[in-house]
Amino acid sequence: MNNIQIKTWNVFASLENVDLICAEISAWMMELNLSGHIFALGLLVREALNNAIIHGSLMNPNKKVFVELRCDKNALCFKVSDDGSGFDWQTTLKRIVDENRESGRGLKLYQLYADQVEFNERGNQVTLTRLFKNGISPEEN
Amino acid sequence: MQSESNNQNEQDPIIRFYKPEGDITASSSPLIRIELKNLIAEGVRDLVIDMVNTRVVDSSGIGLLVATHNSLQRLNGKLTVKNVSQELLELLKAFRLDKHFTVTSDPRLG
Repeated sequence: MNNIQIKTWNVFASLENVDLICAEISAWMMELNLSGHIFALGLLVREALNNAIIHGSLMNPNKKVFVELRCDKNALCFKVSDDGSGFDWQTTLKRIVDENRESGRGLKLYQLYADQVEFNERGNQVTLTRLFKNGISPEEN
Repeated sequence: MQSESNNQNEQDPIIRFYKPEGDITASSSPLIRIELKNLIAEGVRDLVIDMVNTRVVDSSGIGLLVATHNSLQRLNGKLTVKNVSQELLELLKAFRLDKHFTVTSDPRLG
């Protein structure tokens, strides 16, 4: 893959749209011979979208969520942003997961499956990157 | 959802197999939560969730499994999750769910 491939979505904050976008991304990754990354990227996209819709948009279906997915020979990178007030991601990222609690695993999941996790200062935009090992072609990952 | 009971004796804890039809995610977990709560309310204490049709479990789904385990444990029951794919097994192990209840994989599920 020599070119940078980019896909974007600007959708209403509905959980149904999460399923639709994840299905589109899976199909796109199959086309790009990146099937080995579908599970990880699917989880990351789903988690980031869930957070943007549930916490960022407070499940208000009139609010919008923006997604950009970018793929080049070195990495898959996607950005999810919402119109919400953001959150204190610095503190939340340091928090240890309580195994007996039902919630609190979303950001840990980012750290498990993404090589880079970046937030804007306000905390209403996350950028997650999965690197292709050694910068080799996706088919070999 | 498919579920079947195999309690042969009313004295025995009721065992129930529950098979979600697909993924356990933020969009599907509210309905699955209701069904699992209903099973426990009916007296099921030994619950086996068969994940043969499940490819994705997000943090909402993980939370639902933890909540179901917690509910059963309070009632001296137990949760078993079986037929998870290798990818899901790695995810559930990363969150140490296998230390709280039995999780088994099906190698054929990749």
